[in-house]
Amino acid sequence: MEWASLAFEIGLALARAIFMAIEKGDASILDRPVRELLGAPLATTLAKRAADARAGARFP
Amino acid sequence: MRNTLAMRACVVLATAAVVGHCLAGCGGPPAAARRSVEVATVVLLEADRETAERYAVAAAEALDASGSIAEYRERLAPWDALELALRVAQSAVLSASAVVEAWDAGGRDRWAAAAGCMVEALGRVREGLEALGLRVPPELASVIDLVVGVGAAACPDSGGA
Repeated sequence: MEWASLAFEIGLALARAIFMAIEKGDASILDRPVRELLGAPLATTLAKRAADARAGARFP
Repeated sequence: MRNTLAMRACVVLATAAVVGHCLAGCGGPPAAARRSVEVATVVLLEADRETAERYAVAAAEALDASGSIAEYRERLAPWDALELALRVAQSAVLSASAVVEAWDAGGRDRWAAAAGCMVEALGRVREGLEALGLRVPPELASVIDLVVGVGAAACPDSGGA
């Protein structure tokens, strides 16, 4: 019973520490890792590739 | 009873202290370094999203108005410069992110150079946006200041930040 109470208090302390970290801004602002978000070609690069293909067809 | 209470207090306080220390860093990168990479990622993706739509429109207009591939390229030159700046910034932010992730395996020593390259690359993006009269995300200037503030040095690939 004592250990169950102790575990509860530790859990509470953990929750407080995590909440404080988030409140202080330590949590990531990203929903995915940077390498995933920036790993693929950028939208502008894709737009350029498509435009280059159209220009290549127009001016072979 | 008093001993039990004292023991419980010590265990709870020690656990909270360890967790708090780990959340604050635990030997890893400073929060500011990690956060600067995250903000740079958000700003870069925002700038890319806005640029992509306008690039497609500008390219279509340039194609209609041009009589040769050389003329087309000339019309699109400022847009191509911005696309290149975004691509270089993408690479710089990815490198800085890898440095932060490997902080305890040598990343700490490479941070200043990686941050310098990130600052320079983001500065080029800002110049590219301004050259075309496009909106510069206000966070772009903020993140450049933030990265400089957490130890950016010269970018070794370019000879200066």
